[in-house]
Amino acid sequence: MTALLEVKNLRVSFKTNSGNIYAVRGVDFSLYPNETLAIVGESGSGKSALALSLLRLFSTTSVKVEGEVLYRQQNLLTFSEKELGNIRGQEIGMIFQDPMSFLNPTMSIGKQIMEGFYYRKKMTRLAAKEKTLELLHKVGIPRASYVFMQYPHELSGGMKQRVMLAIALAFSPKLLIADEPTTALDATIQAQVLSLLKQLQQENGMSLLFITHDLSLVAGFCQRVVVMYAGKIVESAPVEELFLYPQHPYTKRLLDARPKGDGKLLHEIPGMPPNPRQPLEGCAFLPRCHNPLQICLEKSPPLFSSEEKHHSACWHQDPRSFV
Amino acid sequence: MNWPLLEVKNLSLHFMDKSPFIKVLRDLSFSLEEKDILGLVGESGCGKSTLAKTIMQLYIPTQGDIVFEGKSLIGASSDTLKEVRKKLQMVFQDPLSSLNPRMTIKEILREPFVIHKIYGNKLQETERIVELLELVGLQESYMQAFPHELSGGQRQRVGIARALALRPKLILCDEPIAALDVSIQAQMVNLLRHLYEKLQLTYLFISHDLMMVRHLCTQVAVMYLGTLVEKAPVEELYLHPKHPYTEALLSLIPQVEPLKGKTKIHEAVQGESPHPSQALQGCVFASRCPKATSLCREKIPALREISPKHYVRCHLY
Repeated sequence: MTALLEVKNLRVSFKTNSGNIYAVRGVDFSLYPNETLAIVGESGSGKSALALSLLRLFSTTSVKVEGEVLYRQQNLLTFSEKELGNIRGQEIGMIFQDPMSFLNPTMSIGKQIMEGFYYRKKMTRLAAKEKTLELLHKVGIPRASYVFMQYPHELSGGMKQRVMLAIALAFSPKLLIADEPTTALDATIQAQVLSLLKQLQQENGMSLLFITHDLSLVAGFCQRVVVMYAGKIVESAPVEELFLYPQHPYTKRLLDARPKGDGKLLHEIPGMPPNPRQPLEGCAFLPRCHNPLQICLEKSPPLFSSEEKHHSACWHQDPRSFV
Repeated sequence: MNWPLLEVKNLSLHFMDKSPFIKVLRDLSFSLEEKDILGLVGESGCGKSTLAKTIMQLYIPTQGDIVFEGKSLIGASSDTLKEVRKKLQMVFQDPLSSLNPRMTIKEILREPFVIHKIYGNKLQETERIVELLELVGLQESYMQAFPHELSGGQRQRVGIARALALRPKLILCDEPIAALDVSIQAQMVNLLRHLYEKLQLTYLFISHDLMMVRHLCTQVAVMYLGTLVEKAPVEELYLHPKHPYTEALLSLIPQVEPLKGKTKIHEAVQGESPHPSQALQGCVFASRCPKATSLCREKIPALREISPKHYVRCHLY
């Protein structure tokens, strides 16, 4: 099967007055049609910078994106702004963590959704309105014709997230990037939005790139998981593999850090992630690892594959270390 | 000791500067025994933080009483409140906005001593500050640092050290781990547990992380729309939840055990919670409750003790 999206050696850095910030330090992964891939990482691990770089959505010009982002075998990084405009929204949709800051506060909900139909599809007002109401209905908004006239501040967080989803799905994209879509929502609303996302994915035949910091959300929702640490992928595996047989010490300790209901002391991960301003030598997790090797100091580990689909960036997984 | 450390009786708080006025807390009662850790869970907007601030007397309640160590705090003089606040401290969710950015850590930790005129000389103060830093696992060298130079976890440690400065009995922790990463959350919860054992503290631990609450707390109270719907010892609540809202919340805890078959993400409850300004006749949860009857929509259920220490506010029990 050919991948819908293939990312090769992606690096993202920001130029600031006090030196470069290396947000993403060489990431490779691929996403297949109809698949749900989760990217998990703590704050500062580079997961959001990675998401934004796929569609080049940075508001600053001092960002440098290198590597390849192949969408249907075409490198999006070589596209002009205009060419990319045809990809954004139509081929690849995106939703964000905080719907309030991505919806226009001075425009009614209906107008914001209709905008796309006017400019992209040159629809008439009536046809666009009809499509919009249909979309609002599809994302489970009750009393769609009333909400159509409302403004973002009149809606609750869950409703706003549904509106953003409606905008992202307006042109039935083949790929949806969801950057922490439920982090700002309450538990009961989070469950509603996730099951809606799942249902719409199946109806539209979309691939989903689901970015989150919450490993426990991933279990029932995704097929494959990629764990990021300090701008790099440390482990990638099918979801059950990852929870049952984690290989990288970071993944192991992340899973151990959650309470298990036995009342014992939690396993802490001592220390802090490395400073993103400094170039890395050796393994990024080394200062927090409890079983480092000599080589971890000198050389950054590549991704080793133990099973066909299970990869981890740890020197302990190198076949030579087994002897 | 005959009385509980903290007793909240029929507490109501209405914000009346707008019409219709907003009922933030509705007829809320519970008590907290010494050396308990009471977890307070509920969705955003249900009044958890407001409850903590009302206990601290940062809001004046519309009705009801708050009794700390047998003394009522309502209408108490500012001198009495100042004395009480030595024993009643708070840790906030966002450590950066609750620390003064223009003060060093040493100055921040010195403030309580200045306000309450604890120590006569600087040497004693500094000694105690070093002791406090050590207690929360920070090195002495951080004394001269400013809050922006610290990481989120370190800032929260400073927030905890400040709360401990006056040797309090009860600490109200308002989502102390919500803004932290998973790996740092574990450090913070272990620290809270360690301090609880070492200093014989009592906590009111506000959180929306149900797994952490189960791990840390001895009692759990569930809030919905400004009122307490259920309160029970921790294992009792997690194993035998009674209120339909508690049941719904617990069913949403993600199970990280793929061995038991793939976890489904189920929509446990439909709809969203009503706005607190809405006039409600019956039970606060009736509009979303799958088991609601006509009685639930007409009459407010009372908080009843259905088994020892297990309180539920529901017509079904």
